[in-house]
Amino acid sequence: MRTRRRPLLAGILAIAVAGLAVVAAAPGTALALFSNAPTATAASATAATLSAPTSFTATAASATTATLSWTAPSTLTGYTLSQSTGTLAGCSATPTSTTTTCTATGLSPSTTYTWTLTAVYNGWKSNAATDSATTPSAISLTLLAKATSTTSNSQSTTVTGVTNSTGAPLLILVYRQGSSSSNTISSITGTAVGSSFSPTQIVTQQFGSSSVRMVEAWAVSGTVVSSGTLTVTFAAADNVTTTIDVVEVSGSTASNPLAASTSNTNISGTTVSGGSLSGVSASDTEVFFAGLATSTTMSTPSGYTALDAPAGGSSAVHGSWYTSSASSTGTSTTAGTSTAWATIEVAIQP
Amino acid sequence: MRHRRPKRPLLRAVRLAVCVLAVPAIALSLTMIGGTVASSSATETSGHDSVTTTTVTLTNSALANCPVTGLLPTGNQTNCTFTASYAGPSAAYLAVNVLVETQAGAGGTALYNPSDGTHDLNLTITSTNPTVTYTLPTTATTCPGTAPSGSTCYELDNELTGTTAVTSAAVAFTVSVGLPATSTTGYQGGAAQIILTTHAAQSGNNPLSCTATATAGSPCTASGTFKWS
Repeated sequence: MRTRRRPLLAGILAIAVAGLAVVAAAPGTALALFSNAPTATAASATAATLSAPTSFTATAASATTATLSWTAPSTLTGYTLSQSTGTLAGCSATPTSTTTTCTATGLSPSTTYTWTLTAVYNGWKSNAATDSATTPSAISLTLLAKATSTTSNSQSTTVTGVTNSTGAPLLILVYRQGSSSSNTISSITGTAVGSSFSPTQIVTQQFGSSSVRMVEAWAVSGTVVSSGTLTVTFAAADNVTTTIDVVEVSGSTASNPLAASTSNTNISGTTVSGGSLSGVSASDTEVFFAGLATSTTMSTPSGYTALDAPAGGSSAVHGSWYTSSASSTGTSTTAGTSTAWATIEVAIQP
Repeated sequence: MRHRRPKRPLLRAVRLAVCVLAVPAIALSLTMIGGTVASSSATETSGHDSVTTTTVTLTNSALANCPVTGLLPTGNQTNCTFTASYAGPSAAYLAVNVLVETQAGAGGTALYNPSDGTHDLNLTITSTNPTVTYTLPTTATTCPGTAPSGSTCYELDNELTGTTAVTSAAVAFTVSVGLPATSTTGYQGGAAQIILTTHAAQSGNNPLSCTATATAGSPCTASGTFKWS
């Protein structure tokens, strides 16, 4: 009896357990199987997502350069940087993880560029950050003509041979050494002077008392003229030496491209510093004009192009230079005995 | 015979009670599977059959599961360790089912991607006692209903932890996850869940028999009288 009942009991047990899906035994067979199956989420893995750089900003710094800056994400091994047009230069195509700014160079004037920046972690890339900037038109400065007068006590100096083929505005740079206290300019006239705006004084600076040196910049409307004239008349006839530079300003779209400027004077020494003008747009071009009392030579400041390199041997030398970047700084080193000097700087709007 | 007749209904009642009580006992134990312990017990002996006490636990030293978040393509691995323990008067074979549920993230590619073995999640499953490296599933299967939305699932069942039956064993599984430095950007934000299901099949009259040579770390498809639950 017991022998017959055991398969039945085993079967009941098997069915009871099989109801829990853990036994696959048939009652009455020579098979004993018991198992259970605990399950666990052994591990879960979630990959990170790289964040893109933030505050990515492209700003045209000049007609040929642009400054790129951004804020780094928290996780990266580097970046990729690309430029929409032309070849990326000045900035690496793969900036390092610690880089947050660079200056793209070799750009073309009056062109819109788009830069694309992604953060990288080995083979991963973040979403792209993009920004665009349009380079300003190229400013070109050309010395059209100049005149130096050493006629004593003359009140005006005329520059001849002014040829302006485009009618572009003119920048008039004046250096005058006089014998009295008044060297101010009273008028600028001539066939080279246009009518779209009146001659405008931009900045003036002078030093000395018994022997006054003055440097001054004026904006004059241009006109198309061949071999024209331009006459600068002073308030007093006390000339010792006067030099006038007539500079064509082309490439600007502003009606009067000459912006306010700054000046320095009465500082003894052997160096004359140009540099950034406060309040001037980074895309402005800068003109640096200096006059010195008793120097014999002046070097061209680093980063500047000479407009009117100073002649040596004069007791009243002057020089003028310009740079395409208002952020440039430069120092002109003088030779000889420079007892005092005056400088003006003019920003030219694109 | 007469004096024994009154005992038969009692004996049947006792045996039935054993059966009735056994069911809720097992049911109660299985509700704990989602935790860390599963155990069951029943006792009956006969000339042919035996069903003896088993206890299988699956534990993590610290957590019920082991989330590894913020994986980056560093080439480094992170390990999660679980222990499956078996104890019983009868020897048993141990096996594990490996289920991988995987989802794509912002990068668009599921994190576990056997078709791109050099760039996707670097997954290894090993155990000790003896040292075994388990075969990873590479064929997509139907996902269980509990899988996260958008999952692709891969499963490989009944991978032997060893080829000999044991009466007492603690198998320490190590699940190692990481991303190779060469991982491509499509795997960003992807996820994967690695789910292990352990088995303990008592050997008794149930000799191990697989359709292929039984190899630790490889699936054993039951053949003959041997059956996995």
